[in-house]
Amino acid sequence: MLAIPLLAAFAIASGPPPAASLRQPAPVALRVDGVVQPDGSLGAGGWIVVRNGRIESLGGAAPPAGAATFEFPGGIACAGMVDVATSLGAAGQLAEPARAFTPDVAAADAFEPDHSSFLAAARSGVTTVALTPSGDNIVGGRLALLRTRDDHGRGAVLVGPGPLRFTWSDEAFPGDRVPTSRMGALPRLRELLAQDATKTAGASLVAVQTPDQIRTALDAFSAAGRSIALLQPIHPEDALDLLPGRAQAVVLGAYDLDTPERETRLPKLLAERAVPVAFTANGDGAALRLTAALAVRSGLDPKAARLALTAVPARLLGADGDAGTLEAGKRADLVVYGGDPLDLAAKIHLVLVGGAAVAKKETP
Amino acid sequence: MVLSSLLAASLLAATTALGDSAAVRGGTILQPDGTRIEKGIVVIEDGKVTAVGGPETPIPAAATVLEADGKVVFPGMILAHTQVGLDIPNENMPIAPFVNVYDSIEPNSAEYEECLRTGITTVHAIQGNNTVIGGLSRIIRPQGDMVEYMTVRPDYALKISITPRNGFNRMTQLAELRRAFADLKAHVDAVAERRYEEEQKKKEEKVLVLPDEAAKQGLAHVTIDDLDARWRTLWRASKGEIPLFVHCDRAMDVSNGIAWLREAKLLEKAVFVVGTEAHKAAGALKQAGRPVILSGALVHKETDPLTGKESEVFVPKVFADAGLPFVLQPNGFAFNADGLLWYQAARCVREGVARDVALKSVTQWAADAIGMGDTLGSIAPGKWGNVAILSGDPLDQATVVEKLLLEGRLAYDRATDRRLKELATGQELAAPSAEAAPTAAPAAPAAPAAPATEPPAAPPAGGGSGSGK
Amino acid sequence: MILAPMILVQSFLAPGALALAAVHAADSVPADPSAQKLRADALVLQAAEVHVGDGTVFKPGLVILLDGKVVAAGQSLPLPAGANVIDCGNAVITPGLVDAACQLGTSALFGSAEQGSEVIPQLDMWDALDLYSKDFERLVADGVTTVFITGEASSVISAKGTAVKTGGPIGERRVAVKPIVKATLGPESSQRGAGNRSPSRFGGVNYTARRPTTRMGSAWVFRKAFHDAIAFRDAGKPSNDGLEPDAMRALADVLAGKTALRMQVREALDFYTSVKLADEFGLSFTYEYATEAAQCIDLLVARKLPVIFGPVRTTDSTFEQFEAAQPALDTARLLAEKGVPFCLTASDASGEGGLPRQAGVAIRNGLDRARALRAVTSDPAAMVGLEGRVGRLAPGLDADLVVWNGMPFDDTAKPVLVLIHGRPVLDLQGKFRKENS
Repeated sequence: MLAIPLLAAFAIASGPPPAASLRQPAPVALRVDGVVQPDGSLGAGGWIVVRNGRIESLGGAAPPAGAATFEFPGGIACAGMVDVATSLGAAGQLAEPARAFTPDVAAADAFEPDHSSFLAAARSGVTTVALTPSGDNIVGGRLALLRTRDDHGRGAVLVGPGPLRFTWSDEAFPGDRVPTSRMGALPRLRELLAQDATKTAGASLVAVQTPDQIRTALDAFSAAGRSIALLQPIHPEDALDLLPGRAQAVVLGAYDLDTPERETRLPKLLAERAVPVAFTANGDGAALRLTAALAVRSGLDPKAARLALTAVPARLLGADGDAGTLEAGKRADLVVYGGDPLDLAAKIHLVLVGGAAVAKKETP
Repeated sequence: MVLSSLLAASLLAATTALGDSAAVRGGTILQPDGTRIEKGIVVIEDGKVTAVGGPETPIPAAATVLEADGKVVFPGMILAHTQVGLDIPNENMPIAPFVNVYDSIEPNSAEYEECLRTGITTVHAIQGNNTVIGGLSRIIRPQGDMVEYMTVRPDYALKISITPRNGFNRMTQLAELRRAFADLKAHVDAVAERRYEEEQKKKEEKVLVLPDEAAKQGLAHVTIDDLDARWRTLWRASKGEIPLFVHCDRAMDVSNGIAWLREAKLLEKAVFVVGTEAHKAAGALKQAGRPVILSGALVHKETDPLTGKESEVFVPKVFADAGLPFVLQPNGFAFNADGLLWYQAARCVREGVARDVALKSVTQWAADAIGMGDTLGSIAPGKWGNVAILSGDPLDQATVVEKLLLEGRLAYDRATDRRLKELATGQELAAPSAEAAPTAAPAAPAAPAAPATEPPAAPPAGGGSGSGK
Repeated sequence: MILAPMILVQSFLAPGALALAAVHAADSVPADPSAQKLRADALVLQAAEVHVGDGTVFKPGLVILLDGKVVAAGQSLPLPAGANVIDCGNAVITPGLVDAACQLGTSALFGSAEQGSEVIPQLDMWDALDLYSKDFERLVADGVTTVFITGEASSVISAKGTAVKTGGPIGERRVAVKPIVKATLGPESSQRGAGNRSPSRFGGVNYTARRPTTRMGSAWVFRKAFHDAIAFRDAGKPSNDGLEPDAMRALADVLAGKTALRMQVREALDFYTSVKLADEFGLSFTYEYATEAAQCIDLLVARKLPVIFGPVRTTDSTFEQFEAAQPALDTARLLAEKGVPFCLTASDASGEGGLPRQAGVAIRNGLDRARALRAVTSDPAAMVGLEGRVGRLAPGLDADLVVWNGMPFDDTAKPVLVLIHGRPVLDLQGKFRKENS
């Protein structure tokens, strides 16, 4: 409904010529009826003012003078979604199985900015993603932190290196490579964790499956003073009580309608123990929202579910200074939904990445 | 049948004859139902128990007396369904009612020797469960040089499996089963038709009838010799002349099995051989009112598909709580733990099953399951003289079989058990020598009673199978 | 005090035993002021028999527990006022069982053993433990409360073992224990482990196709590793066999006696090889499994070599495939008679082949009952240097105990209540009310 005037006012994603208008000093103001607050709750709406790619103010009663204004009746604004474990634009390029420990490998080297999957991610409301080395190695290399659109609304842009990806499940022990056992791997892992080279912003992302993998991973990382986020544990129920205070977050998903209740209950069980949850769905915003909605259906508090799509993964990646919540001063990565983001019937009206609007359709 | 068993009894090669009559004196007679007679006397004449009672019970003058002071006298235990001592327990053909376990029994098997050592006096040798219709079974004594000598009841029962054999699914399994009986009927009808015509030929005036009618009328003239040998056993089974040991591994197989047996009007001939999951069908089994033989694995383990929680059920407890008699089998055949029948009974008590139930499950109920409840399973006048003299309570950890009487004859004596010493010490012992007897004598007061006219006693059992593990 | 047992008495009490127990408790009510020294949160268990684990038996008996430790065991003890008394009626109390050579609870067996080298004494079995393994629940059900998880036989010189409690909070499971490294003689190391093939002319030796494949091969690997360790220790010479410095340091600790050595042997000839190898390097050691110990009894007596014996195999064991699987049944009795220091192990078996059944089989084959109890409690504790911590119901030791519903190791009896550090980890009859746990 508003697409045409909006695209005229904001940088148009791929429309030539590159819109210089984005850096224009004149602000843009969006009128929404609700805002997802930094604590995940739904707050009152008002005017959101965006200038120079950043959020200038929220909740104002009137737009600043000279601002281009757009109104979204019934719309709710939320920070753009963040996905910590994707292979966008690099599918098949993120596995380096020759050695078990490859801390020097960087996913950024597999980065292809113009890949169509980034645009698809942006359109679905995902504004920040990490490219994540695959699970073939015990230490799998550095994540690459990306925005799905650059300042000009074109291809994805590299923000910087992310944390290290580790794998502590059976996947990292394929049997044709030394070490072949957890017992053989732990001494080398401890050695690496003691080195500065493995210190990164955010939390080390550690793929685990069984309760005991969780226990041993927590022990090894906390002994080295490292912050750890658990990636996609399958059945961590027995080890849930080990997590509070030791795991920065647990990354779960993606869920679909076939996912057993036993799994979709996990976010609730973790939230009850004050362990933050982040959802991942390989950069697919619709799948992320479905995951969150199913978790809510299984008892997760909606506030925690909204944070699991935004603030928690941003913090995991060390990107929470700039992304993850709608706050004045942060980058204008935001999505206006036709209702609560957890309501799957709520359509996406607008996606801004760094203040640049993402086109809904490819311009020919 | 009686004749053959008497013949066999008289030919029991390896037993030590005690004369025509024997008496066990001074021990505690323990019956499966828990009743005890302290300082009791058991008199066995011509292979059968003739008197059971307290110290006042008269002992015939001719009887050889075995002293059992401080011992426990208990009926010989029974393996009601076993592949012990068979070379290969399963025929490869799915429908093989024409095979006979007779051909598989290995008299020299060390496993029979182990039966005696652990107090088992009767073995129902039947083929394994991996079949649709298996062959004929045989009830035997676990001792003797030839199957004929071992035989108690030849060609006793037929094995039928409702649970799919390897490579079959449940539908094909039941389809094959029904087809076998349909094929049988077709064969019998054809024979009956021919017999009808033959009978007609003998008569002056011939009545032409439709084939169906001919088959019906001819059936009365069909004798078993008219049938193709392949079909004879199944024909007898279909007429309810042979007990059926019906294998139902899962609870659903139990309901399928009962349905098929009702359909074939054979439920009254069935003995159920069930797996651990079949405890869920305890109600249906109780209603069916037929004997139930449990698998050797007594614990049912299951993972809940929704919660992922593992659970364990001690199966005999379920049947005991349901008031349903059951029969125990050993789990495999090992030298300790669950490979032993008495140990299985002890486990039942450990898990809360009443003692008398546990004891009956290895004696009286096992005898009932093989149709010999009036002959075996307890020590009572008229029953066979299968009696174990134990060092203590049958379920006590340290209890051993000291002597075993098989129809009144000394079939096993621990004091002269040469292989036991090999198993215990790991040392290969020299061949039996003259010094074996004197050393055995003090421990076994009955040994001198062995008549000198008998041929030199073979090793207690197993003939020449000397090779240890 | 008199009321407490009456209230707590639960289902397995026979009426007669109930009366007895109540009377007994009444007798024990102390006038003795020293009882006041005990805090009221002490826990008292009373039963028809209390076996201390060193041969002492109290009939009837009491055990007093406080703060996860045993305060006292005896026939009639002054009870703290207001103490929580649990009456176990005609049950029998023993110390929690100890297995000195357990192979359960690890992720290292078979599928995921460390194949990187034949010689891995620098590694620690603690790192291979799966504390959430169902194995531990099974061990608790057997009444086993402490296990020393021994190195795994797919390496010639395996990792250091580790001791753990089988239940209780995960964070409190580990039990500090002196380092013990295990060597495996015989061809077993090449038969186990994932993808462990014989080297071929084409592929050569690597971690999936390794030597040794023979007895002489494993003896050679053992010998070479210690020679390398000596050369490294004395001259800093690196191993030309690719042994890591950490591995050679760990072997130097074995040579210096700082780390104890075990030898896993099964067949008789391996007993003799083990002695020969040990003599070459001046090592003392303990036998593990020692299947054919009966055949080598004279050697064991002459050399005073301790033996962790067992198990008698059952269908529960996955090791049946290996040679000399079945020991002589009266081995335990023989070891006891000849004065060889020994204890019993169930290795990887639980349930029908578990440690209580191993003791039961030993009893059945002539071992004295009291000795059998020692062989699964205080003796194995001493074998791993934990005699001051577990294995007896003596003051100051861990409050790990088992309540049996009959005579321990009888086939008709089993643990119905198991405590570790004074807390219930198995309570089949609900003797512990919520406030006790």
